Amino acid sequence: MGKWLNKTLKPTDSVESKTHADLEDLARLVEGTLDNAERNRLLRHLNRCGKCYEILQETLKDVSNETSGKPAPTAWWKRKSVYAMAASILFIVIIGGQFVYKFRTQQFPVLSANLAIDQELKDILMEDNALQWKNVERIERLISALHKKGLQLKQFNLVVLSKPYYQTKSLFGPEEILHIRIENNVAYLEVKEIQ
Amino acid sequence: MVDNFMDPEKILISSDILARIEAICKRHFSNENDQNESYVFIIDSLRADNFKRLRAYKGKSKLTTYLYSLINSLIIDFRRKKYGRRRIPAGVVKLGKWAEAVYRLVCWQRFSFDDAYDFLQIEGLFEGPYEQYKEEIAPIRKAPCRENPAFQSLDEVGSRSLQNTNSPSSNPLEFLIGKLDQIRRIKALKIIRETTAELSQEDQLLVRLVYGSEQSVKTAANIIGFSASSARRRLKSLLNRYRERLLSEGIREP
Repeated sequence: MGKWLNKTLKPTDSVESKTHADLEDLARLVEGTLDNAERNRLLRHLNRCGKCYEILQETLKDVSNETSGKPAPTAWWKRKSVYAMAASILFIVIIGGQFVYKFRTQQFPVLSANLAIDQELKDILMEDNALQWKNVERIERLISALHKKGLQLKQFNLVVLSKPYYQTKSLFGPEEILHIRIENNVAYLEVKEIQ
Repeated sequence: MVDNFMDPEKILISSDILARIEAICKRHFSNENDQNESYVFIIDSLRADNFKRLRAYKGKSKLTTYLYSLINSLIIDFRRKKYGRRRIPAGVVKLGKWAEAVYRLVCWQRFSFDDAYDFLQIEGLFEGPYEQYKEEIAPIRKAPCRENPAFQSLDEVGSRSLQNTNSPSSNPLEFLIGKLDQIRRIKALKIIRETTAELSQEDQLLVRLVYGSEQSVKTAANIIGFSASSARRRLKSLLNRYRERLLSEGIREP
């Protein structure tokens, strides 16, 4: 989160912040089910009450985590997707066993592409500032996003970024592209600015 | 998770809900002790007065969303109760309001001394030049700070770079701020704050959510009651407004 703007734009508490918004109204605001009059009243309050604004921020994070399929952190060994993936890998190894020797002596082809960055890719890139991702879910979402853009990719199991991505679109400036290179089941990502 | 009227007691024995509460506590606090304390605080608060806070749910929103609002509200209360009573060392208080502000920023909020100077300028709490500030913060550097053990030996003031190139950005305004030198950064932040205050309530919240809290445009639009495309157009127009104000005051991207 941008430290300068987060602090500068935070609502400063005023007389209005002595009485706080109804929590269910805040929930309805997050869901988008308030009528215009109720919403306008609440918006005015949120621009003046630090606590209620903070509740809204945090609720949005939790709702977002829920809708992106992460309602609560569960240990990796409890996730069904891990077992499904393990079973898939085992199946592939058994069926493809006869080709293993042949592939061992081949070099994996290197794929590379440049893509325009859309919001879906940005959301995936900005989840945290880790330079290496091994999280299976996150990698699957990235592959899905790349498939939508027409990239036919093999599965990769590690993502390496040249640097953490922060949305660096300048108020005055350049566009960004995502350069992706896949080699030996590793996807190397780099965001570049173009004039 | 069932989004209907549930017996409050059943809500609090649901493993799914307890896991969500635990996850929220972990998200707010890195310290395991605080995670555990806040968890207990939340459970106790939800049980209090015959589950009064849970019974306040009227069914106008989804239960999960209501619970998220409620739990986050309780976490904020917990944090204010626990850390709101933090004392600023007497030696710092003696120096004045500006020193207390520096202590809060550096010790509790983990800004650097350089950043603290910038915020003091924006707030009008310290009007002297940077060199004077460097001298006057000497006693503050020696003040103890349990939350940030490195505080006592912190030495952030060295060669002061003109550009804060280490400051990553997640939006055009933040990116611009990060590239400015200290004097122009202070000026730019004041202009942004003033410009924001002149906006309509909807536009103010839109800017806060997207550029302050870095929510997606779609999420912010949903909150405010716009379509996503309308919100994007609005943001583009607002960015132009900020840009024009900044340019009129001599602030441009270096």
